[in-house]
Amino acid sequence: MALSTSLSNALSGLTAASRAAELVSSNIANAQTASYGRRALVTVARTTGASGQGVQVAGVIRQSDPVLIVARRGAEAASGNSSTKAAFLTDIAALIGTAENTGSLSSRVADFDAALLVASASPESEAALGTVLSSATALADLLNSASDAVQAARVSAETSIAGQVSDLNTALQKVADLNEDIRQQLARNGDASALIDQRAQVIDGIASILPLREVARDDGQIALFSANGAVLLDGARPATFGFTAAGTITPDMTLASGALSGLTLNGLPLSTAETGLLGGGTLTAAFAIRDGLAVEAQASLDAVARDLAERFQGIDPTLATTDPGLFTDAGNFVDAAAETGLAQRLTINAAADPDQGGALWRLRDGLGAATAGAVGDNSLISAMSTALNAARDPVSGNFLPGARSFATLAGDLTSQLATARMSAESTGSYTSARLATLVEEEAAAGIDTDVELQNLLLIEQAWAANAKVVQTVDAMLQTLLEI
Amino acid sequence: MALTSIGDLAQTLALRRQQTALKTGMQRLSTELTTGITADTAAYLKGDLSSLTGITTRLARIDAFRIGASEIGLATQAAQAAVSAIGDLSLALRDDLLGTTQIRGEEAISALGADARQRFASAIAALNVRVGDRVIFAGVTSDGAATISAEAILAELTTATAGATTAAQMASTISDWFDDPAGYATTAYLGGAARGPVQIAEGESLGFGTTANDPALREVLKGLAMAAMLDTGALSGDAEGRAALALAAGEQLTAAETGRAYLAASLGLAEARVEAATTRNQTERSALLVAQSTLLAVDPYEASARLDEAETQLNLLYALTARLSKLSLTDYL
Repeated sequence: MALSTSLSNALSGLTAASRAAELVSSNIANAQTASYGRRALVTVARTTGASGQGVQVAGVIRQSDPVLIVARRGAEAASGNSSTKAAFLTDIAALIGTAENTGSLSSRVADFDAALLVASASPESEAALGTVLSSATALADLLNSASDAVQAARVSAETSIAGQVSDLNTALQKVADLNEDIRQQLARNGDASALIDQRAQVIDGIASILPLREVARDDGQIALFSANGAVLLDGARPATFGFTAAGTITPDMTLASGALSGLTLNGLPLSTAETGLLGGGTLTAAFAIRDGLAVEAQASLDAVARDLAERFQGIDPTLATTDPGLFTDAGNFVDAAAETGLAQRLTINAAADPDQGGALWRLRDGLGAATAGAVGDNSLISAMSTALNAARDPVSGNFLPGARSFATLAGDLTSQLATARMSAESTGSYTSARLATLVEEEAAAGIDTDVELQNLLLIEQAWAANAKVVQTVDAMLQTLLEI
Repeated sequence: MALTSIGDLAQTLALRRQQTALKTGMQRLSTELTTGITADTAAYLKGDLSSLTGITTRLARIDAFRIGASEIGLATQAAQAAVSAIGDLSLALRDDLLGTTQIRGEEAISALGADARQRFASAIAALNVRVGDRVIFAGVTSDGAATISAEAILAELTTATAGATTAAQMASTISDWFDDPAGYATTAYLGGAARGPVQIAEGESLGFGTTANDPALREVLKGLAMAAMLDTGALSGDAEGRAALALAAGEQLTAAETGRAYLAASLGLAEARVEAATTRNQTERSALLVAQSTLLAVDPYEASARLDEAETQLNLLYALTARLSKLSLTDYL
């Protein structure tokens, strides 16, 4: 009968309207949720026999912009990469400081230079000799602590790599599991939107580790590739990354020497260069710090330490040519062959330090002197002052050739680190600005509560109309039954 | 995606980002305003820190030169005073000694001898003068005395001249003893070698090389010693000999005066050099401080103008944030 058909049509309308309201409420509830795709209802006219009668809910669409999401994830990886490197370089540059700050490398070198000049004017003065010792110790201490900071950064990069690798492995496994769940849900004609949201969230969690590409596969599954083509997930089993963290790291331990582990993908070694398969994320940034930036910084510090120590070797007539001078390699002669890590081991010769069983007068009379000599003799101190300011070619390190005084060399190191920091910071500000723009664009495509409420007004209207139809048909049927 | 709607989060994120940027900028500007120098030195100097490093190094050196110059200046001044005191002692005695051609009285000569002995002692005391904790005429061993006591020297001379019978013999023995490396230099002079040069300005060093073993000072001591020996019983009984010895002493003092005057002049020159170097250092220091502040300083007017601007923008942003958050359809339903 036509009346009962209209009743069932009205009921289908009520069902569709209530379903739509459910989606609107879900959207509004998730207005602040990241990686939530806006749900939209798809309705089609119901077909019974040859004619369409009533409305049928065809399904729920989850709206998302895959291109935008991929771009945003790439920007996250790039931003993470540059901010990791910038943080390291800022740390080291801050330790070395700039010349106008007391406690910076240049200012300690200047203090040492001035102390030598004052001591050469009054070599009798214990105070002047004490100042020479303390300023030399301060200089060596700064080189020690800068070198310690560089190695500590390598250790934290190592820990971070281990953490990121385990995060990657866990996340890839989760995505594989979710892929399977989504496939099953869609096979049952169910709504897999919530699972897709979850999967997107898991992938976002590892987006900064390495730049990813997401490719759609059948039945709602996805495949994951790294930016330059390594297969991370395609099918049932995800790829596995392998890494062995070293406990402590010393300057002589490098990837090339075999003391430090590299990265493996499914058991095969994988290059961690940024032009390699992994692209530029925080993972490759950590490797770049551990094997590149920190190693270079250590080499520069070692070159400076060696230049300093060599200036004071060979000017003291009370020492043999193979005896260590004022600056020693943990008490030994500073040897060209043992330059790696020298900055960490640089110490003042114990013979001049009263706290280590030496005596201050040895600064004046010679480190190998058995007894104190003439108190007014400034010949050795003047020789030390001349040696510090003599123009000398740096024999190692990444410095331009050209003879220069030690103060100039220290200034060149400061400039080198400052320039590296500034360029890393400018890259960082570019990548973070790009990331911010993409995040805002993605958010702009998110839930707009005003639109949802407008839709709710329409749904309310539709519901009211359908309910009115039910009422009217019911009244018509009542009229019939009263006959 | 066609823009049929704009998500809620987009606006929030944009406003938050702008707020952070403005606040960071304001913090940096207020630091620059209060300290007067730039907050990020390396960025301000475009990564080339060599001129700044050069300035700070030279400033530290100039401060050190100041101390060295004042040490040398003090030593030179004290030496000047001692040398001129010795000069006064010797000149007054010389006039009396040369007059002994007229005076032949033994009492007069004995009186001169006693006076000369006291003057000799004063001269030796002047040579052992201390500045601070340093004996300036003792060379590198400045913690000990420069010479043995005047009496000890006279005792040595008495031993050395034991066999001398004439004034000429006495005079020449005394002179030889002072010049002999095994005589004065070994037995009487207790100090060490001359002190090394000290830097008082960039590229300029000055040495205080005068010791109690200086030839000019020895010549004066010879004359004073010769006259002082009259009081130790030399040539006793030989009145003519004693008078001749007194005369010889006077002639020796006359001859020594030239050398002593040259020594005083060279010390005066050294003092002048120290003063000139100090003035030059002070001028250079002022110039370097100006250069350093030119490199690093931030114009306070400009910084405060930019700070005002940032403050205004931040206030506007707060007002906007409040207004936009009130705009919602929910309030009208």
